[in-house]
Amino acid sequence: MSAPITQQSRTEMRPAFEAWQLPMLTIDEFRALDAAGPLELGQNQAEYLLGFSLLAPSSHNTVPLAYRIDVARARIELWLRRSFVLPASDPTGKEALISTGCALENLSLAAAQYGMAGRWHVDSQLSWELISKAQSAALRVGHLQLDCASVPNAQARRAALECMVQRRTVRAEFDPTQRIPPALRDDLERAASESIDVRLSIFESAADKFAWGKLDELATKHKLEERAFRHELGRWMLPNDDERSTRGMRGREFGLEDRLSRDLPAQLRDEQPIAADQLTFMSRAGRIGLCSSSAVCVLSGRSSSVAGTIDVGRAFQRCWLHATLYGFCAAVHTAICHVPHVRAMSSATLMKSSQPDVIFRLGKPLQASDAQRAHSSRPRLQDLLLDEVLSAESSRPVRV
Amino acid sequence: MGNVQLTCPALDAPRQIAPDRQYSCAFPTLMALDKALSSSSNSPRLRSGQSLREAFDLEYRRYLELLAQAHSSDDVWEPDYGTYVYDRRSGELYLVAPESWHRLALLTSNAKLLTDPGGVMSAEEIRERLSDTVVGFIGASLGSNVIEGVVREMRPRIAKLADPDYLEATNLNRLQHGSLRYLAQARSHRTDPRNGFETRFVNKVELVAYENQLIDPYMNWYLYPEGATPENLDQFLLGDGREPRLDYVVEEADDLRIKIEVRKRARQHGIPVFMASDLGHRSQAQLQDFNAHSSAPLGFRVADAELLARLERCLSTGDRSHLFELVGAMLGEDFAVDEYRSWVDQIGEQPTSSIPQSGAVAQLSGALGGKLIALHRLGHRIPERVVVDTRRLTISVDER
Repeated sequence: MSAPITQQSRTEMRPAFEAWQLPMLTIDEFRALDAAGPLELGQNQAEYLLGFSLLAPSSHNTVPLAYRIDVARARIELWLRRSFVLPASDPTGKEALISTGCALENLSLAAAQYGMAGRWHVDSQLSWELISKAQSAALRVGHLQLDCASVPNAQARRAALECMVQRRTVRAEFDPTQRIPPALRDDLERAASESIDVRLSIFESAADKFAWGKLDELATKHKLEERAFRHELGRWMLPNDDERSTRGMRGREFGLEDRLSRDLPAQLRDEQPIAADQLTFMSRAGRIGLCSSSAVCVLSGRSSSVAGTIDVGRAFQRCWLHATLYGFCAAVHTAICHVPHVRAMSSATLMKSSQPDVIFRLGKPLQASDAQRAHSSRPRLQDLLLDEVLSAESSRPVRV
Repeated sequence: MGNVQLTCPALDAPRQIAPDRQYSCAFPTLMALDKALSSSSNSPRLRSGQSLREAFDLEYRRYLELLAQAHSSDDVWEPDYGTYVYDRRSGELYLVAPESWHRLALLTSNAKLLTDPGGVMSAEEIRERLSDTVVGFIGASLGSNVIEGVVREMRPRIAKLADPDYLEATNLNRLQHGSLRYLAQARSHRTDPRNGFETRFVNKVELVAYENQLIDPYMNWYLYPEGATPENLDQFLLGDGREPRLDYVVEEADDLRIKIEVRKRARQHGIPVFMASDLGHRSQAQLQDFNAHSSAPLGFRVADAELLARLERCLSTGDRSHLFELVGAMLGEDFAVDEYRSWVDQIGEQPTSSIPQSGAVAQLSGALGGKLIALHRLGHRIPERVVVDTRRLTISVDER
């Protein structure tokens, strides 16, 4: 497993947060990126679209994907880098595939804004066994085939693109008096149902949110007591003053002060003494978050296949973007999905036999400033492009 | 033979109740009163002019005549006297003495230990004053001990109880009436009775109210299984036409934000707030009489602004020390001594990951609650804070 990148890469590294400074191009500006006609995809255009893919969330902010641009065939391949599939937190690779679904959805949505419809083809060789046991450094997950489509109007395009840039994880206490507007509820259900094998359950009652909170507390505490998980989490948590690491989660993203952002990761790694109740407090914080939310949302895939899991990720990202449009923030609570007995409990009670695959809460932060918490860092896109992509032929624009 | 058929509008169908589910409680209750009530010249005088003993004697004679008639009859087994109480949970039927006699029996042993400061109130007036007191309890773990103290001392007719949580085995060292019976609902409540993961928990408010109604079925409980929330707090405190206004609120919540919110609203509405805290070997009782002191601080000898700042720090920074700063603002900066101090400072071995709570001190806290609220209700001056140290065998009092 790799630790977050903390060293300067071989080429000059841009600041770790530059990915979020993505310009909103008009259709003319987009087309002008390459010497290509209106129905063609160029390398620069592909990279611009991938800039949005890069903004998608990932488990522990591992950003586990790599991309290969095949301009000749108007397709973009998504590859999973096994070194960023976390052995303790994500032993099956399911989280990484859900993250892949999120990145794919952003890519597809961005392409649609510039008149390109994406058709996703999952790699037929990909299996759970391959993901968890393959020796290769990267596995091709599949490719997005781009075809010509209608161009949305400028206002709709700008709204869709800005939404991807504005979306962020806010692991703060939400305002429990805020309710999900009926229109957002409808949009969430519609967004989830675009993936036909994905079901969305929305829990808004105080009793249900509390029940999810208790299960999350139980599962989080259970995971935190696992040394391997705790150490891994400690490796992926970064001090607030780390401005260079391009992966991992800074303490401030959890609301931690500078001192704790330095101490807690070391405590989790057992390099510093940890108070006996610290893990309990961390678990309880998740419960407080869930109880304070406007809604706890749970996505379940009817299929547990690799393709079905990616679909869950896509549905999740669509839901999150819709919530962002309505001014709602989100935080993900994964522990329940990773502790089998708690997952089974949630399935038997709250989920009426469905299995939870993604659990997230929506709400508006109680403290307005929390809505503006800093984004997580991202690697440079150039560092995520597979070298073999860069053939002379692929830089030539082709018709799509 | 001997089955009772119970028909009641609240039951969907008549119930057949076998003799092993029938309990005649009226006669034993009256027998106990016969033994306890004094016929001496200082038997409490009622407004009717009779002494309490005289009133009882009349009632008892009437009952014994009914009992004799029933016994001599071929088809009557029991006098139709008192109130039938059907326990839907257990399927048991109780025949309970009339309200005034049943409730008198529950208080008789307290004699006239509780008096008003001037000693001018009659026993009947004291009893009415206490039984008409409406107390609302927020939090049912430690709170169940205060409930126990209040009902045993005051025997109110009405109480309210809010707690969103369910019973856990680790609560059983301090939760009154908790038992195996409530660690999970019966298997029949499962959707799939064979699914062991389908654990349906028992809400604390339901078990505490249920067990209390098995002692006093005439007592009315208003339950808030969703807990106290910003939305329902005014209804909890002030009533709404169907529910009465509180005379006292006992705040024993886990939710730190609600703890402060309860005090804010109670102060606004002039409702005294009682809180008992089990602090290691020490039990601490605090009565904030917002009825008499409408500008009293929300915390203990700390400005409101400081308290609120500590609350926000505690809930936003993730720093363990900020929790204890908040606790200090609510309880007094000297809240931790001896082994409890060692816990706070994490000195020495610490076997559990949650704040230590002594079962015996929880009971003591409940006793203090019952006594202090009853005395205050009768007009006695109660100090702002009382600390009983069961290890050092000391008591300290902080006057207002």
